[in-house]
Amino acid sequence: MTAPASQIGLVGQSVKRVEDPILLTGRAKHIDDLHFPDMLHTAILRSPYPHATIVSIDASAALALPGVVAVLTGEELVNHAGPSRDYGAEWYALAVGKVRYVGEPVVAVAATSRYVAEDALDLIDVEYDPLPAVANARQAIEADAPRLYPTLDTNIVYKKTFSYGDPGRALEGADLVVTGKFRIPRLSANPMETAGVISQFDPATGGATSWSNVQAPAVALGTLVATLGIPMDRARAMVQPHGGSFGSKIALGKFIVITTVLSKLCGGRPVKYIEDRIEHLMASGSHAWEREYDVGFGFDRAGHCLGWRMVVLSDVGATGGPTQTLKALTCLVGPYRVRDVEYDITTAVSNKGGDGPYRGYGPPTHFLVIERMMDKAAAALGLDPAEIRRRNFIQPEQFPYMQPNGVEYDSGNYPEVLRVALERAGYEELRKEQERLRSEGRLAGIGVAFGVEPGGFRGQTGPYREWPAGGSLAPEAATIHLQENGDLVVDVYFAMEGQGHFTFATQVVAAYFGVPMERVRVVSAEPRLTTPSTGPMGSRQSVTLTFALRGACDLLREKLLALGAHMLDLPAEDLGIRDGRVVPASAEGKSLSLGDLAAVMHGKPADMPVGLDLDPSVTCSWTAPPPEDREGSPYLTYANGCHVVLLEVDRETGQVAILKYVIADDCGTRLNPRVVEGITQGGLAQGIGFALLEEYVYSEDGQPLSVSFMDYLLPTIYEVPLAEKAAVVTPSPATPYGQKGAGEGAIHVTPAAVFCAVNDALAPLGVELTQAPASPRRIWEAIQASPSSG
Amino acid sequence: MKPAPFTYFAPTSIEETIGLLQRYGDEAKILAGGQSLVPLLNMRLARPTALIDINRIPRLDEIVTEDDAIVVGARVTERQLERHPVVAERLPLLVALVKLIGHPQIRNRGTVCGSIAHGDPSAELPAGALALDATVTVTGPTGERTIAVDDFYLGYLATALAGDEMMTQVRFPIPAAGTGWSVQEVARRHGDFALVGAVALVRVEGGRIAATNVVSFGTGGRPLRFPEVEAKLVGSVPGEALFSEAAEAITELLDPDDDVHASAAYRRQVAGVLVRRALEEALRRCEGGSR
Amino acid sequence: MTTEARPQATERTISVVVNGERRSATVLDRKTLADFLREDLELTGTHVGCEHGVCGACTLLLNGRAVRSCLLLAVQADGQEIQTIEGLAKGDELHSIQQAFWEEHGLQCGYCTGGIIMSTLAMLEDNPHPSDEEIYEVLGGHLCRCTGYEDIFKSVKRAIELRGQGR
Repeated sequence: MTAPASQIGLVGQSVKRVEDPILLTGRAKHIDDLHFPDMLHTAILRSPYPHATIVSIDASAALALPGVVAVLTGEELVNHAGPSRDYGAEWYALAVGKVRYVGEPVVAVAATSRYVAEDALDLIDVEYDPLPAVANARQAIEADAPRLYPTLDTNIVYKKTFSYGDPGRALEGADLVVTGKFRIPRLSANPMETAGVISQFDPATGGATSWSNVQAPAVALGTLVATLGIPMDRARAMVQPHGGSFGSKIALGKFIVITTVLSKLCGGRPVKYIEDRIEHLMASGSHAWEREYDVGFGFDRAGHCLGWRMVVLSDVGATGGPTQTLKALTCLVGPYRVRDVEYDITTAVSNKGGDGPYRGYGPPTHFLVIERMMDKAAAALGLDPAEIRRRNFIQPEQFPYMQPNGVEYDSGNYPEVLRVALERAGYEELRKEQERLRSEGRLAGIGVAFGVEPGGFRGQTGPYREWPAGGSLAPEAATIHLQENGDLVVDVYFAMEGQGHFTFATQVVAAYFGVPMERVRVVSAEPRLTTPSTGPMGSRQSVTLTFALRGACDLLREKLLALGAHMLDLPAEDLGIRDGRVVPASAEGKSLSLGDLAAVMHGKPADMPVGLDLDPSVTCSWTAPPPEDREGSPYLTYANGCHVVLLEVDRETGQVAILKYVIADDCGTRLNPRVVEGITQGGLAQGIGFALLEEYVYSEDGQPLSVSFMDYLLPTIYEVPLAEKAAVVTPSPATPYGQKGAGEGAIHVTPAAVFCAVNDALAPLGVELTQAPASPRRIWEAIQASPSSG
Repeated sequence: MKPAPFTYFAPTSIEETIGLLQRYGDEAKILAGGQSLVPLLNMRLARPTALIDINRIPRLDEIVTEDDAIVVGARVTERQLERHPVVAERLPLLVALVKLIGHPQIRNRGTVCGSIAHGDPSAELPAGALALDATVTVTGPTGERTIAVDDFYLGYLATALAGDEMMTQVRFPIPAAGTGWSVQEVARRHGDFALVGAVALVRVEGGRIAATNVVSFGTGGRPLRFPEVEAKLVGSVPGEALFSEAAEAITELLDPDDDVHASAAYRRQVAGVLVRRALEEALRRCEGGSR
Repeated sequence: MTTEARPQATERTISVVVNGERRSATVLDRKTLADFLREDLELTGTHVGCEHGVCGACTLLLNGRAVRSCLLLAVQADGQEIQTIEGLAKGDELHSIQQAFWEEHGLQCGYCTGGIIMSTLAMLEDNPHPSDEEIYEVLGGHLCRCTGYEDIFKSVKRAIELRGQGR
C-alpha cells in the first residue's frame, strides 16, 4: 500500500496551486460564463405555499410575451421525464398536482433573456387550493398530521433503533447519568456560486448534452439517462469549474430535467438556468441537519463513559432522506472507548424544502451532542473537560479500532492530538485567564472539543446499506496521456471546486515519474459512463483520486518499462523510473527519457516490441475493495482533531466574542500542508457560522423567512477567528502516503467547541444553552432563565 | 432576480427632477447611491415606472462645513463623509455612525441623504441625525422647505417627504464644545443593520448634566427620542445609578417588534442596556477630553 | 404579484471605458452593470453571487472606487471608467496582488476572489500601507465560503509587501 520513497518527492510539500492562475485572472469559465448562440434563459415560478393543491395554471399571457419561447408545467413535463423516487414516494422536477414546500418549482419559462423570463413569471396565473401544512418533524409525526404523500400512510420515512452492547444496563449501572435535549436548526452550504445548468437536446438524434456545475458528474449523467430516457451513448454531461459546493451541488437533477425538456420544446436550442440566491436560500434542496436530540449518557465515578442513548428526530423537508442522520453510525462513538450505545433515528418529511448534503453530511451535530454531554459529566464529577476526554479516548495501540457496530477506525493518536492542542492553547494559562475574567464578573468560557472525521468515502457500504438508495460502490477514475514530448496530461472526471485536487494530482503524478510539476497538466475531462467515476464527496479525493492516479501511473510505468527493456535490451525487472527517465537499476549505462519512449509510442511502430499494448493513454477506474462484511465502514480513513476556544459572552446583550482559537488535528500525511490548513480554516469558518449565525427560520405555517443574505448570515472575516493550527501526523495504514481525508474535519468539531465554550461561560449563572446557533437572542434568553439574573 | 422594466432618467437639475416627480408621482423612485433601492429592484419588491438618477445633478456632492454645522448634499456618499477631515475633527459621532454602515464598498455608493430619506428604523444615520437635531432640506414644486428630523419620520419607512419632493441636503448641527457622544449597537455581524442601538450626547457643566440627547433605534417604526427622560437627566449629577434609571425609563416606553434575529423582549431590554452604555461612554468622552 | 400594464423596455446607448478600452453598446435601462459586463462585453470575470449587494463577488472599480456591480445599472456607468479583474494581468504576467494571492493560497474555489482582488486594488491605490484594521474593513465587505479568510488576509499583507518592492 505504501508508496516507495522514490515516488514521494513533491508529495507533502506546500507547492502553489496549479488551479490558481486561471481563477486569479477571471478567465475560468464557470457555468454562467458560457454563452451559446441562440441560447435561451430560464426563470422558474415557485410555490408561495408550503402545501397546496394546484387547481389550474394559465400561462397563456406569459407565452404571448415577446421573447418567451416556451412555458413548461409539471403536467407537460411528465410526458418527457420520469420522477425521482424515494421511500415509496415520488416527485417530479416541476410540481404535479400539488406543491409540498415554498419555493417548489411549478412552472418554468424559457425566454431570450433572464430579464424577459422573469417578466413572464409575473404573467402566469396559478390557482392554488391551500392545504394544512406540516411545519416541522414534531408536527409531522403526530397521528393526525396532514400527509405529504398519498402513497405513504405516514410522514415518517425512516425509523430504526440501532443498539449495540447493552445500553440499558450501562445506564442503569452508572454512577452518574447526564441527560440533555438539543435542537439544531436547518443550515446549508451556500457556496458563493449557486447551481447552474445549460442543456441542449438534439432533435436529430434524441441525444442531450448538459453543461453544469454539478459536484458529482455521475449524477448528471444518471439524470439524463434514467430520468430523461436519453440513450446512453448520446448522453453527455460536461462539468465546469465551480464556485464551491460543499455537497450542495451534488443533486442538480431537477434543473437538468427542466432545461433539457425546455430545450426539447424549443427545437433543440440550448437552455440555461442559473439559480439565484433567493431561490438557493429558499429551496436549494441542500438544507441540512434540522434535528432534535434527546440523550442520556452514563458514567462511573472516575468519569469513564459507560454507554449512552441518543434519540434523534430529523426533519428532512419534503424530499430528503435519512442518510445524513445515518452517517453518525460511521463515527458512532466519536473518539471514545464506549461499547454500549444506542442510536435511535426517526426521520420525518415536512412541508419545507428538501434536506440535502452539506459538508460533513451529518456528524457535526452528533459531536456537538457528545462533546456537550462530556462537559456536563465533567462538571458533575468535578473533572476538567480535557481530563474526562483523556480518560475515555480510544488508545493509540487499539487501532485499527472496531467500533461496537463493526465500523472500523484505521488509525489515530487522540491523546497526543489533545496534548498538542492544550499545549498550543496554553490551556493552564487559559483557565487562569478565565478565572481572572470571571472574577471581574465577566462571562468567559473555554471549549475543548474533539471529533473524528470519516474520510476517503468508498461508497454506499456499511451503515448506508440501511437505506434502499444505498448499496453501491463509488469508483474514481484517472487517465494519463503520455504526450509525444514526454509531458503528462492527466484527465480527472470532475471539475475544479476549490480543494486543490488538481494540485495534489499534479504532485502525485510528477513525483511518481520524477518530473517537474510543469510537465504534468491535470485537466477536467468529460465524464463518461464507460469510465466509472464519482467525483469529490465524503472527504474522499485525497484518498480515492490518489489511488486512481497511482493505478494509472502503475499502468503507464509497466508499459514504459516494457518498451524501455526492448529498447535498452535489458530485462524489464532490471529497470526503474527516476527523474523522468527509464534507467537501469544499477544506474549505469544508457537510459531513456519519457520523451524518447513517448516518441516511439506515438509514431514509430517499427521500434515497438511485438505483442505489447503501447497505447500512450492509460486509465484506472479505482474502486475500493468492498468491506468484508456488511457492517464495514464506508470510509477508509479517520482523521481527527481537537479544538480549544476561549470566548466571552456579554451578559447583557448575549453577544459572543471569540478571544482565542486553537486547532490541532491529525489527518495523517498532508499531501500539500498549506492546502490542508486552508481547508481546515475554511471548515472552521463554516463551523462558526453553524455555531453562532446560520439558521433557516420558518414561520409557524412553513413560510421560509431567511431568504436573503441579510437574514441567512454567513460569517465574515470579523466573525471568524484566525486559528492557530498544529499538525499531528499519524499516517494511515490504508493509503499510499499515509494521508487521510481532510475536507470536513474542522466543521465536525467547531460547532461543538463553540457550543461547549458558550455553555462554560454561562455555567456560573446556572443556565444552559441547548439550541444552535448561539445567537445573542438565544443566549440572552438563556441568561434570563438564570435564578441569579435580574 | 432581475429588475422589472422601468425608464431611467438622469436629470441634470433639481427642477428637472421635480418635473419628473410631478409627472410620474408614486410611480417614480429617486436613485442616489442605490444600496437599498437596487436590491429591492432586483428582487422586484420595488417596481417603479420611472427611475430618476440624481447623480448627474451638479453640486449636490458637496460637504459644507459651517461654524456650527456640517451640511451634506444629496449625493454625498457615506464614504466621503467618513473621510472628511473636518467632519472627523468636529463631529466624530458622524464618522463613528457611518463606519457601522455596511462596508467601504457599500459606503462608496451609499449616500448620507439616501439613508436618511429611506429611514430604516435600524439604520445608524437616521438615529444619529435625530440625536444631533439635524434638519433636512427638501425641494418641491413650490420651492424649498426645511424639516427637523424628528418631524421628518412619521412611522415605519414613512417620511414627511411628499411624492413630488426630493431631499437636497441634511444639516447636522455641531454640538456645543465639550459634548461627549456615543453610539452603541448590537448587530449579528459587523456591518449589519443593528438589532437594536442607541446614540447619546452628554454635556456636563459644573458637575451636572447641562444637556443630553438620547436616541434608541431598532426599537420601533422609526428612531426614537425621549424628551422626558432627557429633561430628567438635565440638572442631575451624572452617574451609574442615574443612567440605569434613565435606561429603565426608556425601556418602559418601548414597544419593539419581533423578527428572525431578535424578539421584542430582547430588543426592549437590550435597548435599555445600550442607552445606559451610550450615556456612560458619552460621559467618559466629555470628561476625558475637549470633546 | 402585479399584472398591470408595464412600462416599455426602454434602452439607450452608453459608452464606458473598461480596462482602458472604450466600449459602446445599447443596453436596457434596467440591466445591471454586472450583467452588462458579463453578457454584452463578455467580461465574465466579474462574478455574481447574490444580486443584492451582500456577498461582494461582483465588486469592481468605478472611477477607481470599489463598488458592487450588481447594485449599479449599466446606464449609470455611461461615460465612466471601469476596471475589472480581467484588466490586471499583463498577458501571462500576474499583477502583484494576484501573485500575492497565489503565493499565500488566498483562494480555494476562486469565485469570490476577483471581487476581493479589486477591493484590495482600490485600497492599495488609495493607501499603500493600510493598517490591519483597514484591511479587515475592506475584506469585511466580502463573503468567502471556502477559505475562512485567513489566507486572504495573508495574501493582502503579501500584496502590500510586493507593492513595496515595486512590483
